[in-house]
Amino acid sequence: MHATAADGAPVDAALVQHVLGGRVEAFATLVDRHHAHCLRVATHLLGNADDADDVVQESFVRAYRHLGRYSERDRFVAWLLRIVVNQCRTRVTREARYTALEPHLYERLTVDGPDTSHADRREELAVALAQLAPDQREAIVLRFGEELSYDEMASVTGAGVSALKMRVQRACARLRILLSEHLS
Amino acid sequence: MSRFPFADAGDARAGEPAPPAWITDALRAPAAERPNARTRIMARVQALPVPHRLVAPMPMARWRRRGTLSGLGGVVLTTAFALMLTVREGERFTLASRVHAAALVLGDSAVPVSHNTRDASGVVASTATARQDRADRRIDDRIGDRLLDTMRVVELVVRGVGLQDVAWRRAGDAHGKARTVALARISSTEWRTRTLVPRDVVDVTLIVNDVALAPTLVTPPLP
Repeated sequence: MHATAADGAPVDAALVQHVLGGRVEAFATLVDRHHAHCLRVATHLLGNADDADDVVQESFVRAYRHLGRYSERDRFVAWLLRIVVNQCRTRVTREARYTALEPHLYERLTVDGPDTSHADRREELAVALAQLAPDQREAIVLRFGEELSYDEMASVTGAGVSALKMRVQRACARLRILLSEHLS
Repeated sequence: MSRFPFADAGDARAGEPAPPAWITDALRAPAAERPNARTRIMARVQALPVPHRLVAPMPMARWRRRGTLSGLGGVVLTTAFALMLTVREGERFTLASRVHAAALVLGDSAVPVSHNTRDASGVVASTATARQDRADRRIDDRIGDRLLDTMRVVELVVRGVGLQDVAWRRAGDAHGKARTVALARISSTEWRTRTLVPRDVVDVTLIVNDVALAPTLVTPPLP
């Protein structure tokens, strides 16, 4: 008997058990459930839609290959995000892709809602994010984009909680300066 | 309303700076997905072997790990050491109670300095046996024969029952090269020898049945 969520769908840990038991199609549910989440993180960290798509695909494949190492004590999404963040770091190191994002490229990275008046702000944010140090960008994206707790962030990034708090603080201060300059 | 005062944003937690809502909204906006992303992932996954749960190896019993001791092992080892020490000290104490060891100071004697390097039994103090050393020593002896030093003549006496092996050595030689000199057996209960020691201190240890004893120094009454 596997655990199910409130809506009746099996929880991530139960799906992992299914996959480990040989039901590979259960992994598709995990992909459906977390793909958008991972893609959003990778997009913000890499600033490039093609790279983000590649990294997320590679991350899911890696997650599948190492699914036996997943411990049910951890949240699956946090475990998966750790892989995504590591893959992003690898990609950045290999290709030095943490470059300033062109605003016109950013328009294609996110899905605008019916209110398009915020599109210009998003472009400004993308440019500002691209100018942050990689670790500060990770901290901002995980903290305010993914709403992770500092403990979860520590699990995902491998950094200490106090270091992450400092990164968030510095990133906020830097963003404030960058966005002020850009809009003035 | 300003878009930049991070500290007064609605998402602010206690003491933590927080970006304004429009930034968090932008960060949480869904990314544009590529078509067939799921299909491509599943196609790659299905080409891989099914993963298996990794079973953590059973931790090795503590007593089998090299270099570590269980609590019981530590207790046993400590007890063994304590027992050895107790037996050893007990032997010494028992022997000291039934053996009388004394160093009788007979007087002083002026002897050549070169004699200082030899003990009373004539054994050369230095263990060097190389030819060069002997040549150097001959030169030193020639000089030392002309210089005199005052040494103390001491007679070592050991009396007791059941003595099998009695010797003496310089006290400082305990951890160096053991250079022990046997005492002469006078009777079944008495062993003696006469030696020269420096005047300032009688640093002699008696070895009786493999147990080290410090002799009682007996000096003659002042004239």
